[in-house]
Amino acid sequence: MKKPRQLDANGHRKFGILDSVSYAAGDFGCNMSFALKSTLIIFWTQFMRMDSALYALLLIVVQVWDAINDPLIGSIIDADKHKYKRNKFLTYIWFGSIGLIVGGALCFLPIQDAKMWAKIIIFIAGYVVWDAFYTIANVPYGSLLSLISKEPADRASLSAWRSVGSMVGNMVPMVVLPMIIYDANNNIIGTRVFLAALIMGVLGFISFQFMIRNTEIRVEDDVKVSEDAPKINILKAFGNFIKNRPAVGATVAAMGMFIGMQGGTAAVTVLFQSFFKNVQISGVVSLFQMLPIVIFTPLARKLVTKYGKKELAVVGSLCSILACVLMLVIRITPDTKGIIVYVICQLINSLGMGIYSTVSWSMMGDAIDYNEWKTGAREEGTVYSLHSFFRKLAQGLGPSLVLLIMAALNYSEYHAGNQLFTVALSLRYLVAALFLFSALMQFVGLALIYNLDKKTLEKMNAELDERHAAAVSADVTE
Amino acid sequence: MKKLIAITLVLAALVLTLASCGAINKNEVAVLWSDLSDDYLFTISDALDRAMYIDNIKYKHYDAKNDSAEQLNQAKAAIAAGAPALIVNPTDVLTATAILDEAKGAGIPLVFLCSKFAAEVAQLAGGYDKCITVNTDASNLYKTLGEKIAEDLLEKYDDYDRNNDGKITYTAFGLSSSAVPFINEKLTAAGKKELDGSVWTSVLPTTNVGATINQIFGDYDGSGNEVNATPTELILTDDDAYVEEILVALRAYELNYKKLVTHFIPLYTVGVAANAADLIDSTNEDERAAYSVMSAIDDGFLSGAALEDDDAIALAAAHIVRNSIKGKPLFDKINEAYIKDGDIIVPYTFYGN
Repeated sequence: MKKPRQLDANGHRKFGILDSVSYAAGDFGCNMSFALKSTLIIFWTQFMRMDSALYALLLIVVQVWDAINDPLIGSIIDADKHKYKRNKFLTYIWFGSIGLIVGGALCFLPIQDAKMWAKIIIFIAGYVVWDAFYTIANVPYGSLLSLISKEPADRASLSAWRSVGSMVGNMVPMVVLPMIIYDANNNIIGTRVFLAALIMGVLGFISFQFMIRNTEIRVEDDVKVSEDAPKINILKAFGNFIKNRPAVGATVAAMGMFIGMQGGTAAVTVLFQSFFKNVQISGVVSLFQMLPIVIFTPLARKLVTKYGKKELAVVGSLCSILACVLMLVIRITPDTKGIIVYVICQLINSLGMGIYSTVSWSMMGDAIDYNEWKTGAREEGTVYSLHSFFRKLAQGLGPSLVLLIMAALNYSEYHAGNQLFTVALSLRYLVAALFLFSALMQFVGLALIYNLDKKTLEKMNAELDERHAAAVSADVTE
Repeated sequence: MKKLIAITLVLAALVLTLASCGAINKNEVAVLWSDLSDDYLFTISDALDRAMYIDNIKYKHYDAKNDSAEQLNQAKAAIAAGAPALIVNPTDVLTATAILDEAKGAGIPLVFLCSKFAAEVAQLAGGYDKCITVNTDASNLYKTLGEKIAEDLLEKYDDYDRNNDGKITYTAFGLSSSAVPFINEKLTAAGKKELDGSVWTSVLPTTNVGATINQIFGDYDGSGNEVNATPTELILTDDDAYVEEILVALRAYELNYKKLVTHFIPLYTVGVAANAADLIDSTNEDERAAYSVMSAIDDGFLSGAALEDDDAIALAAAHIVRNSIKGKPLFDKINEAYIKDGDIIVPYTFYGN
């Protein structure tokens, strides 16, 4: 006999595991698309035979779109006052999920013999469409959380399960994709990448459908996806941002993390193709690298309470610096022994990066409080927007710059997975240098610029609490 | 604070120690090549770069550009500079003999690598106990190739038997017909008919391969009599240098171009390093220079090739040098299956789809 549907006081389905799992399915769906992004460089340079310098330039062009399409599409969604049968956000997510199949496939059309001008158009059009539909699905998805439940405990559950969906959506393609899209000679198989893009698009679509059908909207507030942006003076806002040391420090650290992570993707792939000659295990190695983050995350809260965010994050960056210096100086040979040494170094590096990444967003929250402490104004939207802008800049410029450096080191896309050993060796050092640069930027940002240590943070919070209490009692008196 | 300084000092010491771990040899090993403009030798030199790095040996490449006197001078200069070993791809047998005498006089090990004069050089090497030849096992080339071809044919027999007469007709250029007995052995064991070479002579000269292809398919397409109406269903060549010409000729008949099974004649060769730039529609110099028979196999224009196991050959040579420098037995850590009568013979391997 079917279990009767349990309803809450407002007649909605009672919040339960189905809400959390279906919300997780949404992020899984997003990651089905996002996971392929790291394959773009290798697909377009090695399989489609686009010149590396040209690709680097096109990447910068599409990153401009990447930077503007979030607020642009956010504004379009907010401005849409049409009454939808299901829910506006769910409708946009549904629309986005279809577009992701098309956009994802367009980005990986295996038209190797097409003329270069056609390839350029397809790349730009494909990326723009893919990115747009990703935003159409992802932005309202984030805001959906606040419509599913008002209860803090429910929201915490949704947030935690979102991470689970994201992790599974990331990990599975990360491990499985290299095993199927590269042949035994470490060359990328373009037709398989296209098929993978289609299949993952469909899987994403199914996940989104599961989420849409099982999402219960319990909050009828008119939630906006884009920040209420007051008329601001860009120069003044930037000037205030620069004076906010914690914001600048956290931003520099975040930029460092992204340059290493995103910028190094192509170099790491070529490292496994041509140095270790075993690109199919690169996914498994990446999975190992995630282990320290997974182990550390449950301990984060306790350690932060005991030692402080800045202190912990600085230790993390020192960990990463040590790991990267070791990666640079230890002889990593192109055999099994070398892979083991590389994995150990990366485990230590990712522990350091993981420590920072678990506290990074809350450090930005503290930076906003710092603004209020020092100037009396929070300027939340501006601080977050500028932080996001610089993060995207790093995400966008990183891969392009690294590709140009690789070309300068004689990487030739025409040799695909069989680069000369001297080139492969240079890239081995480039990978280590990139991660070291990333770790150093994190250290500079967190240890030298970010100035909210545990003591100062406690002092700031105490004073802000006093001011808020005083403001409340002043309101009551009036 | 004191703890932090102490930890930092210990870590710095660790890093410096690791950084100071240098090569196992002080003086460079000399690697002498007959002619590095040869595609295949260039490929082997790249494999040797990897192998020498794995074994942590300091070395330097020298290119004689086919000048025997130059190669001998290079050997003498290297020995005078204290080279702990020589790896030599000799220009000719006389030069090999002279270099051997120099190495013997200096008491340093000598590795003859991938010599065109394998038999003569192997005989020379017998005269010096620190001289080892490292070569490919030419005797198993066509066995390796034949067995692999049979495997592929059996997997796609119906697709490759284009005229559905129950047998596969072949054309073999040069010595590649030596693979036929090995192919037939596997085919008959699987209940299939032997390859049919009755229409086109099974051993053809290796020049004018393109013209031969035109003759085969021209007759098939047009004016030919009944004998010439049977097209070839399998093409073998003994040299990757002919692959580009064969494929260009096949393309005139819409074959081996659009990657359709119905328009594909299995083509096998020996070696993958030869340039095949005419197979791509590109004016980019770098792209054309990089496009080889290996690239053509990756793109599915031909089935595959037997090739020398460059990595195994290079690693064997590097191990011998390393063992000599470290005072270990010369064949230490070398695959026992490769060791034959005091020399290293590495079997062919296969590269294909």
